[in-house]
Amino acid sequence: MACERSNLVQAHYDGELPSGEAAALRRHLERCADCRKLLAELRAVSTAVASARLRRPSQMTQRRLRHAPRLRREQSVRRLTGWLTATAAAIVLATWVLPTRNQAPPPRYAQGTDAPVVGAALFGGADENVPEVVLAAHWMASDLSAPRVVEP
Amino acid sequence: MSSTQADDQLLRRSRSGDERAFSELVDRHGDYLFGVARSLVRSDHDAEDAVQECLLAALRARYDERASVRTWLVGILVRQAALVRRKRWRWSREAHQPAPQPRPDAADAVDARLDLTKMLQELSPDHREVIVLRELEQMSYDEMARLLEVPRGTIESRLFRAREQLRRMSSEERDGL
Repeated sequence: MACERSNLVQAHYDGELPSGEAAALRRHLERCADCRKLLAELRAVSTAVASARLRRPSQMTQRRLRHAPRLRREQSVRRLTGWLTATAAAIVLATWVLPTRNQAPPPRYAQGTDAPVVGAALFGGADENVPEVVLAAHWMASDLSAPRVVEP
Repeated sequence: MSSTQADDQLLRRSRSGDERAFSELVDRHGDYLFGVARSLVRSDHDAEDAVQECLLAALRARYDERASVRTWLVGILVRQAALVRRKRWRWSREAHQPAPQPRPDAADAVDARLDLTKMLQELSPDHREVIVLRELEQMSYDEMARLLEVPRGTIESRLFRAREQLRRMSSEERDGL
């Protein structure tokens, strides 16, 4: 487009020019063939778009849209139920299954004595008569890597 | 009672949980919203997603009555369609899959008018948005700028390029290129 005022034609066409500028452009259009051609093209595009056919939704889509809030609520309930089920399963797994798998073997008792042999194993064989309460405390803290030194 | 007042009331009743009012609102505007959405996204499925999110968002959003309910809904729809496009892009579908071919529609056989989706499919999403908002909804540059969160000058240049591309495509079609 050769005319330097052509950049105003679209704004004029869309009614976006202040009234003073619009009046000046109308006068310009009377003598500028390029700008008149641009204006005609803008009108043609608008007519084509406004008269174009819009795609229609299927009946299934129409039904789903009509019930969108209810479908969304049901979807949320299903999601929440799934989440709660997964959480419950994780809790059961953490409470029952995993501790059983990682549990220390039951203490073995030396023949003819009440002292647990495991005490010797745990405490480097220093004393087989380690009280059971100390052993229990040790097992409870078994995730701590450093072994305790227990004075006899 | 004017159509705008009735739409207002339907919207209010829908917000208070009246499902029949919501259905009626969809009966009035659902097809139009779907048609507009279908010109902004690449498949019927995405268009349905965008319209559904638009309608649900409308139940929460504030309606200031400056525009008609339909124009207000189209504003929400344009934003929802952009979100759907972004989601699809993230899933790399848009990047790696060809655009789905439009389904043959029984209406095509009896309606010789140009199809808006086909008309706009060569345009970028930004250009499709401004064409829909300006040519179908008659939004002002300032309204579009606010809605799309871009400067007014950007709206003007997008609109100019989009119209120029449509004009070029139309003349190429006429010339049989």
